[in-house]
Amino acid sequence: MNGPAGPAFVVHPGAAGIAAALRRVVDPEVGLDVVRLGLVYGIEWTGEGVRVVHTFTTPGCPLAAHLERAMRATLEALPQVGRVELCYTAEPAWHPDMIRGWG
Amino acid sequence: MDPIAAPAPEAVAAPAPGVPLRVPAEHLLAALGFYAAGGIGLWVVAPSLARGGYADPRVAAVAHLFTLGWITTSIMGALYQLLPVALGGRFPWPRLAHVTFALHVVGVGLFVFGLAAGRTALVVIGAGTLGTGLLLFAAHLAAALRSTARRDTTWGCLAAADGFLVVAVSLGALLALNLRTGFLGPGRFLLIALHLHVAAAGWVLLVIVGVSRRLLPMFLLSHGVTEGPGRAAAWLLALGAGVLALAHHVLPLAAMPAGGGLLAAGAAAFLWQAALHFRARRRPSLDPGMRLVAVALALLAVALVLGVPAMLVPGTSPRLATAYVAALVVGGLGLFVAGHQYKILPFLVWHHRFGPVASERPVPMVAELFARGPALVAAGLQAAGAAALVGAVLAGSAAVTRAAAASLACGALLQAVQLAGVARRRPA
Repeated sequence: MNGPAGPAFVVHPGAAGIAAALRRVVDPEVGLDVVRLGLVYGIEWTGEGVRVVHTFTTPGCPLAAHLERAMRATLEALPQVGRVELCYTAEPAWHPDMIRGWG
Repeated sequence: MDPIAAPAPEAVAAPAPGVPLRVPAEHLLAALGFYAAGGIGLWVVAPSLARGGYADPRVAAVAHLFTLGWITTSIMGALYQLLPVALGGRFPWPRLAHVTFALHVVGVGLFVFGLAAGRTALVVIGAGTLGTGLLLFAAHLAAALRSTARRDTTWGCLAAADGFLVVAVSLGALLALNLRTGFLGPGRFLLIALHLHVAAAGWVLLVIVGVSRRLLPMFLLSHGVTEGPGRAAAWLLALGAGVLALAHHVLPLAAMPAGGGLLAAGAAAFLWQAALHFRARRRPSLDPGMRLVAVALALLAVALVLGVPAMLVPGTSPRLATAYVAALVVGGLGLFVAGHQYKILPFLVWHHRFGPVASERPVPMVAELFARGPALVAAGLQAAGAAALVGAVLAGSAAVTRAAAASLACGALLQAVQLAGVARRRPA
């Protein structure tokens, strides 16, 4: 395990529910959800709703549009979430060490 | 779980719009048809192969089913999808893609049939048709590369490969004309060797090196591996193919071994890079596609070992030269493409048909679009067939060569049927 350690979640009341919902969004190529894959860097509550800071496995990921669409649809379907903001970041770059297990 | 300070978000660079699914799909499916035909063709010409008859026109016909029909058509289809996503470029004339596809497929068919049937007029017409298609494709690719947002090693590999495609087509056109006029005389054997290596290393292998930078980490989950060997491979292959491209008219013939040496060093550097990715992979197990890629890399290493004496030692055995070409074209390059077809075509179908509805209803994973068991059988038949083919040609056994070709053909047919089924899949 030589790669960078993956960022953990922002601890906030309600973040666990958001993370649980995002586990329904699966990368169809790898077969893991975006949380277990380590793509979700942070979950923050704003005054108007929730902001999810995330990355992709590679810049120019061919599934980027699909994953963002699926995350947005999943979160917007939750009650009392309000505005959903998805913020992509390439820093730190995703690394396989950020995967939280295959099981 | 510890809190983090979320990094400052950056704007997502929206990928350039790709071409419709039909464009890459028609290329990839036609390529599979050529692959199955090539496998059957190997079975037909097996006795010639076992005698080392690489100059037999029917062997040349089968070789072109692999190089032009299987490998080049697959690369064309894959680039239509990959380049917009990976480099942010855009193919400006999607309708031209259909025109180049039609010219290429019809031209390859005429050319191969003409070679196999000994009908020189058809060979020349076919070469002209497919050459026109390939030159138009090269112009289209150049325009797409010009429009890219990112210009990295992948971009450099594709740009250089595009140039070498034009050189390879030009050398091939000279060889086709020679069939009618004989103007090359004994020099045709030198030109055949140059044509083969500019096409195989300058065009195909440079594309493979370029796209592998993106695809191997993605398919193996091997991000973070050093990219030095891959960059060295790109430079060495481009330099080597450049020397060979100039060798015929500009450089002294003594430069040819240097060109060949650079190509060998480039191929070795690519194998090193690929081995690093396989060693660092985080996937728990290899899927059928990546297993084929692993076998392809092993056969590329075999080709490297056979190629040095086959090309550089005067008076080498024709069987050694034939085995070298089989290891390079059928094994190293052909199986590499076969492995990636198992990844790319299902992904394309999923991305265009299943992705848009994935938020509304359950959809299968990409790997679930085809049955794993038959895919493993197809991969095993191809791998065993290609490896046995090289050994049987070296040993001069017509019977084993034919059995190996049958194994490869069955595997290719099974893969073609499976992936044609994937291309028809739609969400329930």
